[in-house]
Amino acid sequence: MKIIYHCFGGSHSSVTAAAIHLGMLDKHKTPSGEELISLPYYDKTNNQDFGSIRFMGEDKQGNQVYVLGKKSLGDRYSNILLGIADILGAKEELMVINCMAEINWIMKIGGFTSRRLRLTWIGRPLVSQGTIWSYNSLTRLVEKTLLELKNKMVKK
Amino acid sequence: MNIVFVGTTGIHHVLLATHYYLYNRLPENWEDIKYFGNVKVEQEGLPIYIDNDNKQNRIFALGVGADLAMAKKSIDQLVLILGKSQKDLLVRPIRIKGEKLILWLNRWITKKKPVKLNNQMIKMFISPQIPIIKKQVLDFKQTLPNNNI
Repeated sequence: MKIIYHCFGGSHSSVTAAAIHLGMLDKHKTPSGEELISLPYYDKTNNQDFGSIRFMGEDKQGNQVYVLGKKSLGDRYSNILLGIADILGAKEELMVINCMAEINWIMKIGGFTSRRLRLTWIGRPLVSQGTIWSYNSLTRLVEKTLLELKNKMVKK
Repeated sequence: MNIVFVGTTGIHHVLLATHYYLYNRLPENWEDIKYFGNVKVEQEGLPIYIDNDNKQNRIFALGVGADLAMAKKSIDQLVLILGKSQKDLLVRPIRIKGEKLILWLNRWITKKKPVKLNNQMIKMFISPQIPIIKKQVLDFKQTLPNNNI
C-alpha cells in the first residue's frame, strides 16, 4: 500500500503526519521544536518541490509513506491522484490524506515566512510552535488513517 | 494504454482536444459535446472517460487547476510509484491563452450559477483558439509510438 500525506507545501503538517505514521515521532508525546526540525523535509522544501511525491519511509506493515505539497488544491488533489490510480487499476493500493484541515494560523504564517519569504529565523520557530499546537489533531488524523488502512488490509 | 489530456479545467478546451484526438474533427456546435461546461463533473476532480481510440487506448479529460506543471509532475511520479510506466498512462497538457481566466469563470459559476452566460463567455475565449488546440493534438499524435493519424 502507498500512503500519501499532502498539505500546502509538503513541508510541515504532511511531514509531521508521515513521521507520526512511521513512528519517527511518538504519538503519545508532543515533540520539541528541535525534534520537528530534524525530520527529513521538515521546513526544508522550496518552490521546485511543489508536486513532488517524496518518499518518507516504510511502516512496520511494509506500507510506503510519502509526502506531497500541492498548494491550495485541497481534496480535489486527492481525487485527481485517486482517479489516476483508478485508471491504472491500482486505486486499492493507494491512500491519499489531506492534512490541511489540521493546521492552524501560526503554521500558515510561519510556513509562509520561512519557505516563501526565506526568513527562516522568524518562520521556523513559529511554524514548529504551530505544529506542536496541532500535534494532537495530526495524531488523530494518523490514527484514523491507520484504522482505515487496517480495514483495507482486512478486506484484502 | 491510457491517455489523459490535462488542463486548467477538463470540461472546456481539454474536452475539445480529446474529441479532436478521437474523431479528427470537432462538431459545429462543439459546446453541445457531452460534459462541456458541466461544472458538477469538473468539481469532482476525477478524470472524465471520453472513449477509446482506434488502438483501444482509453482517452480521458482532466482538469487539474492553475498549476499544470505541478499536477503533471505529481501524476507522472504517481504512475512510477504505482509500479507503472508511460506505456500504461500518458499525460498530455493542453494549453490555451486565458486558461486561468476560464478556470476562474468556472469557479465563479459554481457559486453564482449563470451557466448559459458563463458558457457563452468561455466559448468566446475558446473559439479563436481552436486551431491552437488542434495543433497540440496533432503534435501529440506525432509523438505516439504507433502513430494514430
